[in-house]
Formats: sequence, structure tokens, C-alpha cells
Amino acid sequence: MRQDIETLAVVGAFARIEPGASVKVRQRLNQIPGVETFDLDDQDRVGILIETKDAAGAEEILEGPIKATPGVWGAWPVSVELEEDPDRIAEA
Amino acid sequence: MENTRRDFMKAAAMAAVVTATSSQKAMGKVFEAPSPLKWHKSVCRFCGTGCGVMLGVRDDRLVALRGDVEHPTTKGLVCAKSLFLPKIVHAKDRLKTPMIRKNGTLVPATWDEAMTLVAEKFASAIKKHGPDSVAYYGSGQAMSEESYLANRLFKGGIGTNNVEGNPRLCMASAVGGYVSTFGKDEPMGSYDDIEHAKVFFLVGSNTAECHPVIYDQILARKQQNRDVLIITLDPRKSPIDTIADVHLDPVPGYDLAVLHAMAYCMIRDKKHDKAFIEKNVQFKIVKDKKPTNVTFDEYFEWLSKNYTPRQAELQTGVSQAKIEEAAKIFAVGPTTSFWTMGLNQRTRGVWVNNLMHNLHLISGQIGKPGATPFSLTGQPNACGGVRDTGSLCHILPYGRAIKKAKHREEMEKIWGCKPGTIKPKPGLHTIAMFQALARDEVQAMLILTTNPGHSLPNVSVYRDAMGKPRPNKPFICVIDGYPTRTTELADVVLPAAIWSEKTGVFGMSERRYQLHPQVIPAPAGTVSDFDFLLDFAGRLEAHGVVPKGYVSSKFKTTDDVWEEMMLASKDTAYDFRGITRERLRKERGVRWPAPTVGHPGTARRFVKGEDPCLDAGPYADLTLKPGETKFYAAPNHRATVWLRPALGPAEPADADYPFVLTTGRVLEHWHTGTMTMKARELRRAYPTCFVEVHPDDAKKLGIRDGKKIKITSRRGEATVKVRITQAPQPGMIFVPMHWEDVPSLINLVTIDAFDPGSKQPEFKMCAVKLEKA
Repeated sequence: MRQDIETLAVVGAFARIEPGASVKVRQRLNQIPGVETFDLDDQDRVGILIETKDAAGAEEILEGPIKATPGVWGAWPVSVELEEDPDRIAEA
Repeated sequence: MENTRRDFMKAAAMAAVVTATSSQKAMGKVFEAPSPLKWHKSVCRFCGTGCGVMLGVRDDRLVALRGDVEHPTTKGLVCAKSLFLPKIVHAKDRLKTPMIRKNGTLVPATWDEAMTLVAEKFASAIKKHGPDSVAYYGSGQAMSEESYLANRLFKGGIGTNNVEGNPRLCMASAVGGYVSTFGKDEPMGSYDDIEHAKVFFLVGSNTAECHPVIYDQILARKQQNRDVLIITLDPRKSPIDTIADVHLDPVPGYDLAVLHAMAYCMIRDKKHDKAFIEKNVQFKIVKDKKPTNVTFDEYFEWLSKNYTPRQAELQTGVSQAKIEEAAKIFAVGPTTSFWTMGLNQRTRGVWVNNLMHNLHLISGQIGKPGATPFSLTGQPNACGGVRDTGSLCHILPYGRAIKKAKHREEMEKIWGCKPGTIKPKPGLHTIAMFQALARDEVQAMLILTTNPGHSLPNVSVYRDAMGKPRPNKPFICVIDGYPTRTTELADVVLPAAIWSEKTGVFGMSERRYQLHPQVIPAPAGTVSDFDFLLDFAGRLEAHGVVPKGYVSSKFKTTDDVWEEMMLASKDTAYDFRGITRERLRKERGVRWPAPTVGHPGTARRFVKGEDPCLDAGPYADLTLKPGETKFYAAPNHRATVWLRPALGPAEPADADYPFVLTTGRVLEHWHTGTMTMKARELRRAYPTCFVEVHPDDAKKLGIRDGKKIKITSRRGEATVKVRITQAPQPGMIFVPMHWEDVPSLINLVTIDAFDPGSKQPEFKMCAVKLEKA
């Protein structure tokens, strides 16, 4: 397996948040390294992009700091986009 | 400005979120990402939620999975486990070659060699020792057609009722509860009730981790309506307790008294539904081993004598005030109760299921939008595949019982067997079956798509039964997609095609039957369980131990079997003759009963105007008004409120073993981990097994976070890392059951005591001691 490749994973997720706490919760989430938030139609949900080296790192951020953020009731991943060396994918 | 690959990836991820959440606001920010994949609708392979998924296929490989936004109940959501299914399906260690044990070692063989041996061993056992010397142990992960066919082959072809499956380990008490209360299995409500409920009662269910998509729907409901209240009942604090308005935390194993006390409060405060009770409910107590009718007044008197909140507090440790509050909230409703293994995996499993139904029946929180008792399931096809098809030792398809002559005759006619072929005595239930294996009384066993070498309680005993060399050792054939702690014990291992590599039906918790189509070719060397069963049956016919043509002349594909299954549901409470194959291919599943092709499926059973069984057929009642309830499958058409004593577990903590061990699951892993451990991302979330210990206990024992401790019971030991947390109450520890390595294999420690009614083992409670490793 090649070790010198740059890898990238982007996980799309959303969080259900305490009603009325959207602004504060988004501010807190945006402070987590690798995390960006975006609006959804529903004020009690917030869209989340997690950008890390690999999907495992994104999973750790989702299950760790995101779910631990005050005002977050729950968070769910929706998609995993992986940018990896094709040889590496074939080996997986 | 040129978009980079990173921009496209972010746009694709954002698009997926927007689509899954049906949100248009962010659409402006989303680029159209190129999608060279071909997408197919399907159903997730994991739990019983039955999430609709879209599978992305490129070059005959499954390369992507997304939630299906058109799915009527799960609406595009899936959990982390599901997202990694493409990797799991293509895992490097998939089994692809049959193996036969020679001189103690499994060696590669051809399919014909392996199948010849399997058929010879089964035929020889049947000829020498009779049909009851063979057994089938199936799975809530096999397709419905596969379980139905195996059941048909063993009960109607070979002539043994030794047909069991892993739902005995997870859902049997729920079945016992539904049948003894309502007359038939399966919930009357559906996920639609979530959108109408104002109270959720979550009992023995870590919904956030084990059914995350259902949990999201509960959260959504609470966000929409600030008046929605959540009551939880669990000795362990799980993530759902962050949103609970009332948390009831009884001493492990003593929750029955809490439920009785809630019933007492409702009646004392006149919050019961007198009219509903008078019309629809009867009361029974078991005296001298016989169910005996009692009156409503006698029921209340019994509660008053034994289960006031004060008495319940003394027995369970839950404060009177909390019990009073929970009862008050529950009675207002509409109340939906969800429960899982915390109630089912108990020696009092059926009783505690009955008590959940009691609360709904006396308060009238049933048969109305948002009001239902609902047992969630842990496997994708425990309901449709095993419970509904009658693939357990005591039942027959679609609500029929082995013990009833009329039911046996009906199935003999449908299956085309000689009258009297189906034996009137139930076969061996799971624990009894493996005990008979240990005594060499069962001489040949087929294990299909399940891992009892890891998942049975007190597993060391049963691992020996399956694998310990001895004269006259029974023959074990295992068919599976992956190497497991069971394949290593087998005499023959057959490599199986799985899930998206074959076409069949899954029936999930809310009675919805859904088709998962074959979307990629099965790996070379593998066959589906269905094709294996056809081959196996044909060879048994050739050996003369199954009537000639019994299977081989009737079925070629799973579609053929489905036709017979639909017919077998005629005139039963399950009637799904309207859920045709064609319909399943087009629609996102249909909930039975659905007796005609035009019927949309049933959200609420036993309710006039919703349940088609009340309009035509043997249960029809044209005198009812729309919205009226009739428990047509129950004796006297009345559901039963049971007066069950609040007894504790089989093995409470004592001076020698002072802690209560409970086992369970974590979000990222599923059951024995044979699939989820294949995804590096999921494995890394929990690289090793752990035990949750309360800080007070850790302090007393001098145990530090991250250090290993030895957990010992009267049966065995495990050694795992400590996680100090407030989640378990003092005196209790929690260990997830996913890890297969010997120091972590917690089923070496658990107890194989089982519920006398449901025969489901008590995974949730046994006594242990803790020592520094």
C-alpha cells in the first residue's frame, strides 16, 4: 500500500438541536476543527460537513465533539465521500 | 472559478444531507456532482427498523449507499453502520470456497463434495435415529423465502419440528407477550404513531444507539411539539436519557413492580378507560398453573395489596414520586411505548411484555393514532422471516400453532404433505436444541446465517457441543458469508451469497414487507441460502428421507416460494395476498394485512376502518363503527390484562458475585460484529471491548479508567478495559456483546437460564465479581 498519498474524507451529516438554540449551537459546532455547518429548511436541524483525512476521523468527530456539544440532541451521518488512491480502495 | 475535487466532494455531501432532510434552503449552494453510478432501491441489512436505502453500483460492485428519501417511514435516514455496507459486502475475508473438516482441519472442497457429505450425514441420521435427530438453526437475517423454505423442508418434508432461529435469543418474549395478551403476534401500531404521540415510554431500549433512525423520529416529534414528553425505564442511563423528562431506574430485574405501580396509580386516580376495558379487556391470573379469570375490581385489589408506589419503591429503588409522575403522564397520552432487549432477554420476559400491554389496555392508550405498545426488533427479518413464517419449534406459518390439529392440517394441505406428517409436539427450542447436541441426541445440525458460537449465553458449553471432538460427535454444517466463531467449529462450511447479491423479502418491525433485489453478482463460489436449500432438499429427496418432488418439483426461484407464502396467509390475521412480487418491486414495501392488490396496507391493526380483516374474511365484523377496536384474534375477542407476580432475575447478585452484569450494543457495531468489524471506520470507533463501571464502584475496587479488569461469573470469565461512567447504577456493569476474541467474549460469562414461556435466555442479568487483571 502506498503511504505517501494525501487522503480526504467528507462526511455529510445533520444534527437535531434544542429548539431555539440554533445560533448558539451553530457557533459552537463551527469551532470544532474540520466542521462546517449550513442551514436546512427546518430551524431545529442543522446541516454539517466534516472534512478529515479519513472516514474514521470524521466518525470520531461526529460521535465525540459534535454529539457532546451542548444543545445537540442527536446527530446522524448521511453520506461519506472518500478521496483515496484507487489502488487503496481496491485493496479495502 | 474552477471547482476543485474537494469542492465537488463537499457539494455531494451537502446534497446528500439536503436530500435526506428534504431541505430546499441549501440547494442553492449545492453543485450537481457527477454521478456515474446506477442506483437501486433496497433495504438496509442491519436492524429491524427497515430503513429504505439506495444502492449505488458501478462495474458490478456496490460502491455507495444512501438513505432512500422516497421511503415512507424512514424518509432518507440511515445510520453509520448502513453507510459502510458497501465496504462490508466486498470485505476481503468473504467466504468463497466450501470447506470440509478432515483430520481436524477445514480444507477446501468442491460444492458437490461438500453437498454430498452434508446430505449423506443428514440422511444417515434420519434413517438411523429418526427425524428428530436432525435440527435447523436459522436466522432473522435470512430472507423470508429462505426461512419459509427451511421450515417447510424440516417440518413438512423431514418430519421434525426441530426448527429454531436466533430470534429466540432476541424476540421470543415479545412474541409470547403479544400472543398471550392479544392472541396473535406482531404489533398493532406502526411508525406512523410516532407522528401522533405526545408521550413516549422507552423501556429497556437504548433507542439512540440501537435504533438511531427511530430515535431521530422521536426527537423530531419532540422538537415539533414542546408538550411531547419522554419517560425512560432502564437501570442503565443510555444516550436517550439526555432527552428524558422522567427516568425510572429500577434495580436490574425488578421493573415489573414499577409497571404494576403505574397501573395502580392510573386506576386509583380514575385515569383508566372504563368503557374501553368493559368492551375489550379481560383479566387473568395463573392459579394452580391454570389461567383463571378475575374481575377488574379484583385486579385493582391485587395491585393495592402488592404494588402501591410505596411498595414498588421498596422493591425497585424507584421513588414513589417518579412512579406517580410517569403514570400521570402515560395516562394523558397519546402514548407510544417502545421496548427491546431490556425486556425481552429476561427470565420474566413474557410477563414484563404483558405488563407493558396492561398499561395500554387499562388506560385505553391503544388503537388510536399515537397510542400503541410496540416492541422494536433487532434484526432485519426476525419479524417477517422467522416469526411470521412460523420458523420456530412451536409455530407454523402466519399465526398457526404446532399444537393445533386444524393448523397442522392446513399447512400439510398447502405444503402438499401426507396427513400427519407435521408432528403435534413442539420441537426443541434453542437452548434445549444445543443441550441435545451436547448429549449427541441431535446428530446433524444445519446453522444458517447466524453465529451461535458467539451469541449463545454460557457459550463455552455450546461451543463444546458444536465442536469438541468425541466419538459419535454430531455433524455441523454452517452456511455464512463470513468466517465466524461458529464456522470454526463446523464440519462443513458453505460460502453464502448475501443481501444485495440475491433477491428476497425482509419484514421489519412495523409489519412492512420489503423487497431487496439482487443488484450485484454473487462472488464466484458462493450461493444464496435459498439455492443451497433447494440443492439440499433435492439431495434429501434422492436419499428417500424427504418425499420425491416435495421441494424440487415446486420451486425454482424465491418468487415461486412467495406465491405459496401469500396463499398460506389466506384466512389468517396476516393476510398479505395483496403484497405481490410485482408490487414489492415497485413500492417501498407494504404493511400487512393487505389482502388485495388494491389495498394500501395497514397502519393500525384491530381497528375498524383500518384493518381489512374486520371487513372481510373469518374475522369480519360488520357491526362495528369506524375507529372501534376489536381484538379479533384473542379468545372471546378480548385482550388479556395479566396479573403477573413481580419476580426478579434467575441469578441476582449475592455475596460471592456482588455485581449484576448486563450486556448490550453500541451504535457502530451490530450483534456479533461479523459485518461491522469489517469496516475500519466502525472498528476504530470502538477498537476494543469495554466494561462500564460506576465511579463509586471503581473507587471501592481501586479500578482506574482504561485499565483491564476480570469479570467472573459461575460459568466463565472475560477480561476487558474499564470505562468509568455514571451510565450504570452502582452495583451494575455493562459490556457490549460484539467482540469475538476470547478475553472479550462476554457470552462466556452470561447465563443460559431462560423464560419458561418464551424460552428466551436472560442475557440482561447475571451475577459477577470484578477483579483487577
